[in-house]
Amino acid sequence: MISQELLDLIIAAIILSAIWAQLGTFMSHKVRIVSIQSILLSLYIIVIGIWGADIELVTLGILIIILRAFLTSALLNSKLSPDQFVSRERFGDASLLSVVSIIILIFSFLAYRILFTPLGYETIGDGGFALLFQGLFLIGSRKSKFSQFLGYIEEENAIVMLGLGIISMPLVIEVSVLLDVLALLIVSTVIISDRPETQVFEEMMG
Amino acid sequence: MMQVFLETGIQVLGILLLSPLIAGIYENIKAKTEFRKGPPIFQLYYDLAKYLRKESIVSKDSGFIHRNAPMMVLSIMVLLAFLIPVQPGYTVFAPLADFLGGAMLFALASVLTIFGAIDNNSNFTAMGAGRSATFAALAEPTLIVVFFAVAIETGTNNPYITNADLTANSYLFLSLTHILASIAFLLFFIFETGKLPVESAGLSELSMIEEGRIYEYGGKNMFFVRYSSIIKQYLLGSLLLNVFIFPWGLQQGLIGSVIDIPIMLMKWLVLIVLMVILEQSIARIRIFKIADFLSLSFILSVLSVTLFVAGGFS
Repeated sequence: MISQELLDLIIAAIILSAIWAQLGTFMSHKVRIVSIQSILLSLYIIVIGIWGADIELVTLGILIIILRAFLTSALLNSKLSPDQFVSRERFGDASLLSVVSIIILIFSFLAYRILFTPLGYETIGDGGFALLFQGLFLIGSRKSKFSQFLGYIEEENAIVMLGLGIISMPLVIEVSVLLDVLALLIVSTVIISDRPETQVFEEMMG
Repeated sequence: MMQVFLETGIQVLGILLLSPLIAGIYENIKAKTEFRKGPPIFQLYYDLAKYLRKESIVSKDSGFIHRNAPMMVLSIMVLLAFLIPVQPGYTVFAPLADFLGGAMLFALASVLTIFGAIDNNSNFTAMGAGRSATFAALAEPTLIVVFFAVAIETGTNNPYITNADLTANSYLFLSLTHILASIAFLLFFIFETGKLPVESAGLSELSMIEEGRIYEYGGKNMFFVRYSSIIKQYLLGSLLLNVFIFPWGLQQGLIGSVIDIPIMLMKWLVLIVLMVILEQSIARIRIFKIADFLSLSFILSVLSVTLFVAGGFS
């Protein structure tokens, strides 16, 4: 029973990290928070994999740590200025965002309870469902490409969390890695768009 | 088991040997339609041999990824040669393969090429990589959704079983879902292989995408880059032919897998003629319009899935 509480605690921590990422101002901090979120998710997956003696789950957890928590974060960090005030995001009212974030969180839990719980899906699904909306809100409420990309990573985490309770494991692993490769493609776009050579877009016109 | 190994070997060797010939025939027919003599159909073999003999020279500013990306990309393409159903007999890796894995490997090859182009610190290749990354981010989702479409219509995500299902059940082939997915994949194929109206690479224009990324490569690295590009074209074209447009005609068994090589050549000739007619009929679109082109492809793929779910299957 304690073990289930531990798992629920990890899910709660993942959702809290999503709200924290929503309110953060410094980009380097936000990248770190989303990285922590990915580590928490992989920790959850590895723990249930070890308890259930399921090598596929452990593999998925390790892949998430390597690809999402470290590789993608390292690539993003390499493009951020060492001075955190330079890569600081300016956005609207933080208090308003926090209230909207929490309303979305409550709405997502209620929607999951009404729509999916009667179908008998596992509890990790409600965490994934809530994270899905938090990620969407992060993408929608920001103009910075870094924030939007972090929202994409949150979406990836949400899809894995939802998938754990619904579809077969090999497909979850495959989809997870596929989304990480797509994330690298998007990261390359972010990296290139920061190079001064490609900022004169008139030169690219045919 | 031995037969599976032999069939796999024939398929992979067929892809590796036939792909430059297909690209050479394409260039030759295209030149003929422009009233030029054109290069011989074996020209790409000569070119590849020439690149292989030459020494690789790289800029001192280039990094590890730039130096090694061509080899990694070629390895991915060779791996894909084991997974794509160029012939109906299952290869050694066929049970491990599915559409998502294939899409992932194509995307990975694309990512590596882009990082390789960025890593040599050349402005020109960075420009090519920038364009490529921008458009690839729009193209890859199309590939995934198109694969979802064929997966849900046949109930499997393994391309070999999909090919067998489509061959056996004509009604699947004629469904609106499949037709829309086929058009979406054709548009994706045109983009990925750098054909008009997206790109006219042969003229080295300012709007180049694919060619822009590989400007800094030479010698053996150029061999890897060119060969992987040729194999990629062959694989995507074979997928277009065998899963989407014309899945019939392939033979089973060991002898069948040998006969499949000239059959694929014939299928490819039809596709080449179609592509050349398309290329000669339309002008190149402006570079920023490529996003619209890819959006159309994506919308068609989403529509094909939506129609299936909504009951527009028949």
